[in-house]
Amino acid sequence: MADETDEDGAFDGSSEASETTPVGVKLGSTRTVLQYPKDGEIETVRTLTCLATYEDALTGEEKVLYGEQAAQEFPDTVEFMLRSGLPEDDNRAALASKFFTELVRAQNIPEDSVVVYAIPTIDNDEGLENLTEVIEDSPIGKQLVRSFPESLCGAVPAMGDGLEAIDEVFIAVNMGSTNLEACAYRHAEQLEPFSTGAVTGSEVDRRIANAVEEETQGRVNIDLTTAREYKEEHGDFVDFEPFTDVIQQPGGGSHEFTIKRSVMEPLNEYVDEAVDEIANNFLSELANTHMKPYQIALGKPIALTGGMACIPGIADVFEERLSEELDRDVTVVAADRPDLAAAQGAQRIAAKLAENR
Amino acid sequence: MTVNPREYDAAELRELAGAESVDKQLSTGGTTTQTPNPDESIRDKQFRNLLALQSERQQIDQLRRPFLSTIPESTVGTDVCEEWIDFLVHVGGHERAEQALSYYRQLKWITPAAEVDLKTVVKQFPEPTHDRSLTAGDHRLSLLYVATLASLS
Repeated sequence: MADETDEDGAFDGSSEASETTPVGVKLGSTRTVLQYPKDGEIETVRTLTCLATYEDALTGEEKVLYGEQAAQEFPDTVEFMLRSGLPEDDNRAALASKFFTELVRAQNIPEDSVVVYAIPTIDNDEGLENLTEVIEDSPIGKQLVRSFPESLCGAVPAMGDGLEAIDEVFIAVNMGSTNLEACAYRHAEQLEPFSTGAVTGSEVDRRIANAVEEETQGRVNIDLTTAREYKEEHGDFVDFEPFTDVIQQPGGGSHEFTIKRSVMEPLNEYVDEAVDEIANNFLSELANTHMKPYQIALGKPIALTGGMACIPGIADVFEERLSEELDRDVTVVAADRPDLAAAQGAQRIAAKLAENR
Repeated sequence: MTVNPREYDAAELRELAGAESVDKQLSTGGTTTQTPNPDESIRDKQFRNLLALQSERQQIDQLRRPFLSTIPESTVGTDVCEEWIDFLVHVGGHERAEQALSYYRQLKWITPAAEVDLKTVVKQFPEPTHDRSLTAGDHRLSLLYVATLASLS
Protein backbone atom coordinates (compact mmCIF):
# COMPACT_ATOMS: atom_id res chain seq x y z
CA MET A 1 0.00 0.00 0.00
CA ALA A 2 1.03 3.57 -0.55
CA ASP A 3 2.38 5.12 2.55
CA GLU A 4 5.52 6.58 3.93
CA THR A 5 7.32 5.12 6.85
CA ASP A 6 10.28 6.31 8.78
CA GLU A 7 11.75 5.99 12.19
CA ASP A 8 11.98 8.37 15.07
CA GLY A 9 14.23 7.53 17.94
CA ALA A 10 13.77 10.83 19.82
CA PHE A 11 11.52 9.27 22.45
CA ASP A 12 11.49 5.69 23.49
CA GLY A 13 7.76 5.19 23.79
CA SER A 14 8.02 1.50 23.16
CA SER A 15 6.71 0.69 26.63
CA GLU A 16 9.13 -2.10 27.38
CA ALA A 17 7.43 -2.84 30.68
CA SER A 18 4.31 -3.94 28.89
CA GLU A 19 3.46 -6.23 26.00
CA THR A 20 0.60 -3.96 25.02
CA THR A 21 1.32 -1.92 21.89
CA PRO A 22 0.87 1.81 22.46
CA VAL A 23 -0.35 3.56 19.33
CA GLY A 24 -0.69 7.28 18.59
CA VAL A 25 -3.12 8.26 15.83
CA LYS A 26 -3.87 11.52 14.11
CA LEU A 27 -6.74 11.17 11.66
CA GLY A 28 -6.18 14.38 9.70
CA SER A 29 -8.29 15.90 6.95
CA THR A 30 -5.41 15.61 4.48
CA ARG A 31 -3.02 13.11 6.09
CA THR A 32 -3.31 10.42 8.70
CA VAL A 33 -0.31 9.62 10.86
CA LEU A 34 0.23 6.55 13.04
CA GLN A 35 3.09 5.95 15.45
CA TYR A 36 3.77 2.71 17.27
CA PRO A 37 6.75 0.66 18.46
CA LYS A 38 8.09 -1.96 16.09
CA ASP A 39 11.28 -3.97 16.64
CA GLY A 40 12.42 -1.61 19.38
CA GLU A 41 12.01 1.55 17.28
CA ILE A 42 9.14 3.95 16.81
CA GLU A 43 7.53 3.35 13.43
CA THR A 44 5.81 6.28 11.72
CA VAL A 45 3.19 5.78 9.04
CA ARG A 46 2.08 8.88 7.15
CA THR A 47 -0.48 8.57 4.41
CA LEU A 48 -3.17 10.58 2.64
CA THR A 49 -6.58 10.25 4.30
CA CYS A 50 -8.35 9.00 1.20
CA LEU A 51 -9.91 5.87 -0.17
CA ALA A 52 -10.79 4.46 -3.58
CA THR A 53 -12.63 1.26 -4.42
CA TYR A 54 -12.70 -0.70 -7.67
CA GLU A 55 -14.02 -4.03 -8.93
CA ASP A 56 -11.46 -6.72 -9.59
CA ALA A 57 -11.79 -7.57 -13.28
CA LEU A 58 -11.13 -11.28 -12.69
CA THR A 59 -13.02 -12.07 -9.49
CA GLY A 60 -15.61 -9.28 -9.42
CA GLU A 61 -14.68 -8.57 -5.83
CA GLU A 62 -14.57 -5.04 -4.47
CA LYS A 63 -10.97 -3.95 -3.87
CA VAL A 64 -9.95 -1.11 -1.63
CA LEU A 65 -6.99 1.25 -2.06
CA TYR A 66 -6.01 4.01 0.30
CA GLY A 67 -3.46 6.79 0.63
CA GLU A 68 -1.10 7.98 -2.11
CA GLN A 69 -1.78 4.92 -4.27
CA ALA A 70 -5.53 5.64 -4.29
CA ALA A 71 -4.96 9.32 -5.06
CA GLN A 72 -2.58 8.52 -7.92
CA GLU A 73 -4.44 5.64 -9.53
CA PHE A 74 -8.03 6.83 -9.01
CA PRO A 75 -7.86 10.65 -8.98
CA ASP A 76 -11.40 10.83 -10.40
CA THR A 77 -13.12 8.73 -7.73
CA VAL A 78 -10.86 9.00 -4.69
CA GLU A 79 -12.69 10.19 -1.55
CA PHE A 80 -11.12 12.41 1.10
CA MET A 81 -13.72 11.56 3.72
CA LEU A 82 -12.49 13.89 6.48
CA ARG A 83 -12.32 17.05 4.39
CA SER A 84 -13.90 19.17 7.14
CA GLY A 85 -11.83 17.51 9.89
CA LEU A 86 -14.57 15.08 11.01
CA PRO A 87 -16.83 12.62 9.12
CA GLU A 88 -19.86 14.78 8.27
CA ASP A 89 -22.40 11.99 7.62
CA ASP A 90 -22.95 8.24 7.81
CA ASN A 91 -21.50 7.69 4.36
CA ARG A 92 -18.24 9.45 5.18
CA ALA A 93 -18.12 7.71 8.57
CA ALA A 94 -18.38 4.33 6.79
CA LEU A 95 -15.61 5.34 4.38
CA ALA A 96 -13.42 6.59 7.23
CA SER A 97 -13.99 3.31 9.05
CA LYS A 98 -13.03 1.30 5.96
CA PHE A 99 -9.94 3.49 5.41
CA PHE A 100 -8.72 3.17 8.97
CA THR A 101 -9.34 -0.57 9.11
CA GLU A 102 -7.36 -1.08 5.88
CA LEU A 103 -4.55 1.11 7.18
CA VAL A 104 -4.08 -0.61 10.55
CA ARG A 105 -4.42 -4.10 9.04
CA ALA A 106 -1.72 -3.25 6.49
CA GLN A 107 0.58 -2.31 9.36
CA ASN A 108 -0.24 -5.46 11.39
CA ILE A 109 -0.93 -3.41 14.50
CA PRO A 110 -2.12 -5.78 17.25
CA GLU A 111 -5.77 -5.54 18.32
CA ASP A 112 -4.61 -5.81 21.91
CA SER A 113 -3.31 -2.26 21.99
CA VAL A 114 -3.66 1.06 23.79
CA VAL A 115 -4.60 3.77 21.32
CA VAL A 116 -4.58 7.53 21.81
CA TYR A 117 -6.27 9.67 19.17
CA ALA A 118 -5.38 13.32 18.57
CA ILE A 119 -8.69 14.95 17.69
CA PRO A 120 -9.30 18.46 16.30
CA THR A 121 -11.31 20.72 18.61
CA ILE A 122 -14.24 21.46 16.31
CA ASP A 123 -17.77 22.33 17.46
CA ASN A 124 -19.54 19.62 15.50
CA ASP A 125 -21.46 17.14 17.64
CA GLU A 126 -22.63 15.03 14.69
CA GLY A 127 -19.09 14.81 13.32
CA LEU A 128 -17.80 13.74 16.73
CA GLU A 129 -20.51 11.08 17.02
CA ASN A 130 -19.54 9.76 13.60
CA LEU A 131 -15.87 9.73 14.57
CA THR A 132 -16.78 7.86 17.76
CA GLU A 133 -18.32 5.14 15.59
CA VAL A 134 -15.20 4.99 13.42
CA ILE A 135 -13.02 4.55 16.51
CA GLU A 136 -15.35 2.00 18.11
CA ASP A 137 -15.41 -0.04 14.88
CA SER A 138 -11.62 0.06 14.62
CA PRO A 139 -9.82 -3.29 15.03
CA ILE A 140 -7.23 -1.77 17.40
CA GLY A 141 -7.44 -0.37 20.91
CA LYS A 142 -9.00 -3.38 22.61
CA GLN A 143 -7.05 -2.59 25.81
CA LEU A 144 -7.78 1.12 26.05
CA VAL A 145 -8.77 4.08 23.91
CA ARG A 146 -8.35 7.74 24.80
CA SER A 147 -8.64 10.97 22.85
CA PHE A 148 -7.02 14.32 23.50
CA PRO A 149 -6.99 17.66 21.68
CA GLU A 150 -4.75 17.72 18.64
CA SER A 151 -3.12 20.96 19.79
CA LEU A 152 -2.14 19.38 23.14
CA CYS A 153 -0.77 16.19 21.55
CA GLY A 154 1.12 18.26 18.98
CA ALA A 155 2.67 20.44 21.68
CA VAL A 156 4.10 17.43 23.56
CA PRO A 157 7.09 16.83 21.22
CA ALA A 158 7.54 20.58 20.73
CA MET A 159 7.98 21.14 24.48
CA GLY A 160 10.40 18.34 25.35
CA ASP A 161 11.49 14.74 24.97
CA GLY A 162 8.85 13.34 27.33
CA LEU A 163 5.54 14.64 28.65
CA GLU A 164 6.88 17.94 30.02
CA ALA A 165 4.10 19.89 28.30
CA ILE A 166 1.51 18.30 30.60
CA ASP A 167 2.87 20.12 33.66
CA GLU A 168 3.34 23.50 31.97
CA VAL A 169 1.26 26.61 31.43
CA PHE A 170 1.54 27.33 27.72
CA ILE A 171 -0.22 28.17 24.50
CA ALA A 172 -0.49 25.80 21.53
CA VAL A 173 -1.40 26.85 18.00
CA ASN A 174 -2.30 24.17 15.47
CA MET A 175 -2.09 25.25 11.83
CA GLY A 176 -4.13 22.63 10.02
CA SER A 177 -5.54 22.12 6.54
CA THR A 178 -9.10 22.82 7.59
CA ASN A 179 -8.79 24.69 10.88
CA LEU A 180 -6.62 27.08 12.82
CA GLU A 181 -6.79 26.00 16.45
CA ALA A 182 -5.36 27.59 19.55
CA CYS A 183 -5.65 26.79 23.21
CA ALA A 184 -3.97 27.67 26.47
CA TYR A 185 -3.13 24.73 28.71
CA ARG A 186 -2.68 25.06 32.47
CA HIS A 187 -1.17 21.84 33.82
CA ALA A 188 -3.12 19.81 31.21
CA GLU A 189 -6.34 21.72 31.77
CA GLN A 190 -7.79 23.33 28.66
CA LEU A 191 -8.42 27.09 28.83
CA GLU A 192 -10.26 29.00 26.09
CA PRO A 193 -10.14 26.49 23.22
CA PHE A 194 -10.37 28.45 19.98
CA SER A 195 -10.96 27.22 16.46
CA THR A 196 -11.68 28.93 13.16
CA GLY A 197 -12.25 27.59 9.68
CA ALA A 198 -11.45 31.01 8.17
CA VAL A 199 -7.66 30.64 8.13
CA THR A 200 -6.64 27.27 6.73
CA GLY A 201 -4.05 25.45 4.67
CA SER A 202 -6.76 24.51 2.16
CA GLU A 203 -7.56 28.19 1.63
CA VAL A 204 -3.87 28.80 0.90
CA ASP A 205 -4.07 26.06 -1.78
CA ARG A 206 -7.08 27.78 -3.35
CA ARG A 207 -5.29 31.14 -3.35
CA ILE A 208 -2.17 29.60 -4.90
CA ALA A 209 -4.28 28.08 -7.70
CA ASN A 210 -5.89 31.48 -8.38
CA ALA A 211 -2.58 33.33 -8.15
CA VAL A 212 -0.92 30.96 -10.64
CA GLU A 213 -3.69 31.67 -13.13
CA GLU A 214 -3.20 35.40 -12.59
CA GLU A 215 0.60 35.29 -12.73
CA THR A 216 0.53 33.36 -16.02
CA GLN A 217 -2.10 35.70 -17.51
CA GLY A 218 -4.68 32.92 -17.56
CA ARG A 219 -2.51 30.48 -19.50
CA VAL A 220 -2.12 28.00 -16.65
CA ASN A 221 -4.83 26.49 -14.47
CA ILE A 222 -3.73 24.11 -11.75
CA ASP A 223 -5.90 21.93 -9.53
CA LEU A 224 -5.85 22.11 -5.73
CA THR A 225 -3.65 19.02 -5.38
CA THR A 226 -0.97 20.64 -7.57
CA ALA A 227 -1.36 23.88 -5.59
CA ARG A 228 -0.80 21.93 -2.36
CA GLU A 229 2.27 20.28 -3.88
CA TYR A 230 3.65 23.71 -4.92
CA LYS A 231 3.09 24.93 -1.36
CA GLU A 232 4.73 21.90 0.23
CA GLU A 233 7.66 21.66 -2.18
CA HIS A 234 8.46 25.32 -2.85
CA GLY A 235 6.94 27.34 0.03
CA ASP A 236 9.87 28.69 2.04
CA PHE A 237 10.05 31.83 4.20
CA VAL A 238 13.83 31.52 4.50
CA ASP A 239 15.04 30.85 1.01
CA PHE A 240 12.27 30.87 -1.59
CA GLU A 241 13.42 30.49 -5.17
CA PRO A 242 11.25 31.00 -8.27
CA PHE A 243 10.58 27.68 -10.01
CA THR A 244 9.45 26.51 -13.42
CA ASP A 245 6.89 23.91 -14.38
CA VAL A 246 5.51 22.57 -17.66
CA ILE A 247 1.95 21.83 -18.75
CA GLN A 248 0.76 19.99 -21.83
CA GLN A 249 -1.32 22.19 -24.15
CA PRO A 250 -4.74 20.78 -25.22
CA GLY A 251 -3.82 21.15 -28.92
CA GLY A 252 -0.41 19.49 -28.48
CA GLY A 253 2.96 20.84 -27.40
CA SER A 254 3.85 22.08 -23.98
CA HIS A 255 4.01 25.38 -22.13
CA GLU A 256 6.75 26.18 -19.63
CA PHE A 257 6.05 28.82 -17.01
CA THR A 258 7.85 30.32 -14.03
CA ILE A 259 6.25 31.01 -10.65
CA LYS A 260 7.74 33.94 -8.76
CA ARG A 261 5.06 35.19 -6.36
CA SER A 262 2.03 32.87 -6.52
CA VAL A 263 3.21 30.66 -3.66
CA MET A 264 4.72 33.14 -1.21
CA GLU A 265 2.03 35.84 -1.46
CA PRO A 266 -0.76 33.50 -0.30
CA LEU A 267 1.55 32.14 2.41
CA ASN A 268 2.35 35.64 3.65
CA GLU A 269 -1.37 36.46 3.71
CA TYR A 270 -1.96 33.25 5.67
CA VAL A 271 0.56 34.21 8.36
CA ASP A 272 -0.89 37.74 8.61
CA GLU A 273 -4.40 36.36 9.00
CA ALA A 274 -3.29 33.71 11.51
CA VAL A 275 -1.52 36.36 13.60
CA ASP A 276 -4.64 38.53 13.49
CA GLU A 277 -6.90 35.65 14.64
CA ILE A 278 -4.52 34.57 17.41
CA ALA A 279 -3.71 38.07 18.72
CA ASN A 280 -7.07 39.76 18.39
CA ASN A 281 -9.54 36.94 18.94
CA PHE A 282 -7.93 34.11 20.89
CA LEU A 283 -5.38 35.97 23.05
CA SER A 284 -7.61 38.96 23.80
CA GLU A 285 -10.33 36.57 25.02
CA LEU A 286 -7.78 34.61 27.04
CA ALA A 287 -6.50 37.83 28.65
CA ASN A 288 -10.06 38.78 29.59
CA THR A 289 -10.98 35.49 31.12
CA HIS A 290 -7.70 34.11 32.46
CA MET A 291 -5.36 37.01 33.15
CA LYS A 292 -2.78 35.12 35.18
CA PRO A 293 -2.37 32.10 32.88
CA TYR A 294 -2.28 34.56 29.96
CA GLN A 295 0.64 36.46 31.50
CA ILE A 296 2.48 33.25 32.40
CA ALA A 297 1.87 31.52 29.07
CA LEU A 298 3.03 34.44 26.95
CA GLY A 299 6.36 34.29 28.75
CA LYS A 300 6.81 30.67 27.66
CA PRO A 301 7.40 29.40 24.13
CA ILE A 302 4.21 29.08 22.07
CA ALA A 303 4.04 25.60 20.53
CA LEU A 304 3.29 25.63 16.80
CA THR A 305 1.99 22.41 15.21
CA GLY A 306 0.10 21.15 12.16
CA GLY A 307 0.87 20.68 8.48
CA MET A 308 1.23 24.40 7.73
CA ALA A 309 3.93 24.68 10.41
CA CYS A 310 6.14 22.55 8.12
CA ILE A 311 6.76 25.49 5.75
CA PRO A 312 10.43 26.37 6.39
CA GLY A 313 10.81 29.54 8.45
CA ILE A 314 7.10 29.96 9.23
CA ALA A 315 7.69 29.70 13.00
CA ASP A 316 10.15 32.61 12.93
CA VAL A 317 7.89 34.75 10.73
CA PHE A 318 4.89 33.96 12.95
CA GLU A 319 6.95 34.83 16.04
CA GLU A 320 8.11 38.14 14.57
CA ARG A 321 4.65 39.25 13.40
CA LEU A 322 2.87 38.11 16.56
CA SER A 323 5.43 40.00 18.69
CA GLU A 324 4.77 43.09 16.58
CA GLU A 325 1.00 42.73 16.88
CA LEU A 326 1.13 42.21 20.65
CA ASP A 327 3.87 44.82 21.12
CA ARG A 328 5.81 42.40 23.30
CA ASP A 329 8.36 39.70 22.59
CA VAL A 330 7.01 36.18 22.30
CA THR A 331 8.87 32.98 21.43
CA VAL A 332 7.50 30.31 19.09
CA VAL A 333 8.74 26.72 18.97
CA ALA A 334 7.80 23.83 16.72
CA ALA A 335 8.53 20.12 16.82
CA ASP A 336 11.13 18.82 14.36
CA ARG A 337 8.28 17.45 12.26
CA PRO A 338 5.16 19.53 13.00
CA ASP A 339 3.08 17.34 10.67
CA LEU A 340 3.89 14.25 12.75
CA ALA A 341 3.83 15.96 16.13
CA ALA A 342 0.21 15.22 17.06
CA ALA A 343 0.62 11.46 16.48
CA GLN A 344 4.00 11.51 18.22
CA GLY A 345 2.53 13.20 21.31
CA ALA A 346 -0.44 10.83 21.27
CA GLN A 347 1.95 7.87 21.11
CA ARG A 348 3.92 9.11 24.12
CA ILE A 349 0.70 9.37 26.11
CA ALA A 350 -0.36 5.91 24.91
CA ALA A 351 3.03 4.51 26.01
CA LYS A 352 2.49 5.88 29.53
CA LEU A 353 -1.05 4.50 29.63
CA ALA A 354 0.25 1.08 28.54
CA GLU A 355 3.00 1.18 31.17
CA ASN A 356 0.47 1.86 33.91
CA ARG A 357 -1.78 -1.03 33.00
CA MET B 1 -17.38 6.27 24.94
CA THR B 2 -16.80 9.86 23.88
CA VAL B 3 -13.99 11.05 21.66
CA ASN B 4 -14.79 14.70 22.32
CA PRO B 5 -11.35 16.26 22.85
CA ARG B 6 -12.87 18.80 25.24
CA GLU B 7 -13.91 16.10 27.68
CA TYR B 8 -10.61 14.43 28.47
CA ASP B 9 -9.49 13.72 32.01
CA ALA B 10 -6.78 16.28 32.84
CA ALA B 11 -6.09 14.57 36.21
CA GLU B 12 -5.33 11.27 34.45
CA LEU B 13 -2.95 13.04 32.08
CA ARG B 14 -1.17 14.74 34.96
CA GLU B 15 -0.80 11.43 36.75
CA LEU B 16 0.66 9.86 33.60
CA ALA B 17 3.18 12.68 33.30
CA GLY B 18 4.18 12.23 36.93
CA ALA B 19 3.01 15.77 37.74
CA GLU B 20 1.76 16.76 41.17
CA SER B 21 -2.02 16.73 41.37
CA VAL B 22 -3.81 20.06 41.20
CA ASP B 23 -5.50 19.37 44.57
CA LYS B 24 -2.12 18.86 46.21
CA GLN B 25 -0.77 22.04 44.66
CA LEU B 26 -3.78 23.91 45.98
CA SER B 27 -3.20 22.64 49.50
CA THR B 28 0.48 23.56 49.41
CA GLY B 29 0.06 26.93 47.76
CA GLY B 30 1.60 25.66 44.56
CA THR B 31 1.39 26.89 41.04
CA THR B 32 -2.33 26.47 40.44
CA THR B 33 -4.42 28.26 43.00
CA GLN B 34 -7.77 28.46 41.25
CA THR B 35 -10.32 25.67 41.21
CA PRO B 36 -10.12 24.44 37.63
CA ASN B 37 -13.10 26.01 35.94
CA PRO B 38 -12.57 27.40 32.44
CA ASP B 39 -15.68 29.57 32.73
CA GLU B 40 -14.43 31.31 35.84
CA SER B 41 -12.40 34.41 35.27
CA ILE B 42 -9.54 34.80 37.70
CA ARG B 43 -9.42 38.52 37.21
CA ASP B 44 -13.19 39.00 37.43
CA LYS B 45 -13.29 36.93 40.59
CA GLN B 46 -10.52 38.98 42.15
CA PHE B 47 -12.27 42.21 41.26
CA ARG B 48 -15.54 40.92 42.66
CA ASN B 49 -13.85 39.89 45.91
CA LEU B 50 -12.08 43.22 46.09
CA LEU B 51 -15.23 45.23 45.55
CA ALA B 52 -17.08 43.19 48.18
CA LEU B 53 -14.29 43.75 50.70
CA GLN B 54 -14.03 47.44 49.91
CA SER B 55 -17.75 47.99 50.31
CA GLU B 56 -17.46 46.63 53.84
CA ARG B 57 -14.45 48.75 54.64
CA GLN B 58 -15.33 52.19 53.37
CA GLN B 59 -13.02 53.75 55.91
CA ILE B 60 -9.95 52.50 54.09
CA ASP B 61 -8.23 55.35 52.36
CA GLN B 62 -7.22 53.66 49.10
CA LEU B 63 -5.20 56.66 47.97
CA ARG B 64 -2.79 56.70 50.88
CA ARG B 65 0.63 55.20 50.20
CA PRO B 66 2.07 52.78 50.97
CA PHE B 67 -1.01 50.74 50.18
CA LEU B 68 0.18 47.61 51.96
CA SER B 69 1.98 47.86 55.30
CA THR B 70 1.62 44.31 56.63
CA ILE B 71 0.75 40.89 55.26
CA PRO B 72 -2.64 39.79 56.63
CA GLU B 73 -2.21 36.85 58.99
CA SER B 74 -5.52 35.22 58.04
CA THR B 75 -5.59 32.06 55.94
CA VAL B 76 -7.14 33.99 53.04
CA GLY B 77 -4.41 36.64 53.34
CA THR B 78 -1.65 34.02 53.35
CA ASP B 79 -3.21 32.23 50.36
CA VAL B 80 -3.53 35.44 48.32
CA CYS B 81 0.02 36.42 49.23
CA GLU B 82 1.39 33.02 48.19
CA GLU B 83 -0.61 33.10 44.97
CA TRP B 84 0.88 36.51 44.14
CA ILE B 85 4.49 35.55 44.87
CA ASP B 86 4.01 32.24 43.06
CA PHE B 87 2.90 34.22 40.03
CA LEU B 88 5.94 36.53 40.17
CA VAL B 89 8.36 33.60 40.57
CA HIS B 90 6.61 31.52 37.90
CA VAL B 91 6.94 34.36 35.38
CA GLY B 92 10.32 35.88 36.23
CA GLY B 93 12.20 33.56 38.60
CA HIS B 94 13.54 34.32 42.11
CA GLU B 95 15.77 37.25 41.22
CA ARG B 96 13.20 39.17 39.19
CA ALA B 97 10.50 38.50 41.77
CA GLU B 98 12.71 40.03 44.50
CA GLN B 99 13.60 42.96 42.22
CA ALA B 100 9.89 43.52 41.56
CA LEU B 101 9.17 43.61 45.30
CA SER B 102 11.94 46.20 45.78
CA TYR B 103 10.44 48.17 42.90
CA TYR B 104 7.01 48.07 44.53
CA ARG B 105 8.59 49.35 47.75
CA GLN B 106 10.18 52.23 45.79
CA LEU B 107 6.78 53.02 44.28
CA LYS B 108 5.41 52.97 47.83
CA TRP B 109 2.92 50.25 47.01
CA ILE B 110 4.33 48.28 49.97
CA THR B 111 6.29 49.20 53.11
CA PRO B 112 9.89 48.03 53.68
CA ALA B 113 8.55 45.65 56.35
CA ALA B 114 6.07 44.12 53.90
CA GLU B 115 8.87 43.82 51.34
CA VAL B 116 10.98 41.81 53.81
CA ASP B 117 8.05 39.53 54.67
CA LEU B 118 7.19 38.96 51.03
CA LYS B 119 10.79 38.19 50.06
CA THR B 120 10.82 35.33 52.57
CA VAL B 121 7.99 33.74 50.57
CA VAL B 122 9.88 33.94 47.26
CA LYS B 123 12.16 30.97 48.01
CA GLN B 124 9.18 28.73 48.78
CA PHE B 125 8.60 28.35 45.04
CA PRO B 126 10.90 26.55 42.61
CA GLU B 127 12.71 28.36 39.81
CA PRO B 128 10.62 28.05 36.60
CA THR B 129 11.90 26.21 33.53
CA HIS B 130 11.34 29.28 31.36
CA ASP B 131 11.43 32.82 32.71
CA ARG B 132 11.23 36.31 31.29
CA SER B 133 11.25 39.97 32.33
CA LEU B 134 8.15 41.21 34.08
CA THR B 135 5.95 43.44 31.93
CA ALA B 136 3.59 46.33 32.68
CA GLY B 137 0.74 43.80 32.59
CA ASP B 138 2.47 41.73 35.29
CA HIS B 139 2.87 44.83 37.48
CA ARG B 140 -0.80 45.74 36.99
CA LEU B 141 -1.69 42.27 38.23
CA SER B 142 0.65 42.81 41.19
CA LEU B 143 -1.16 46.05 42.03
CA LEU B 144 -4.40 44.10 42.09
CA TYR B 145 -2.87 41.66 44.59
CA VAL B 146 -1.59 44.62 46.67
CA ALA B 147 -5.08 46.11 46.71
CA THR B 148 -6.62 42.75 47.63
CA LEU B 149 -4.17 42.25 50.50
CA ALA B 150 -4.66 45.84 51.70
CA SER B 151 -8.41 45.25 51.83
CA LEU B 152 -7.86 42.14 53.93
CA SER B 153 -5.54 43.90 56.42
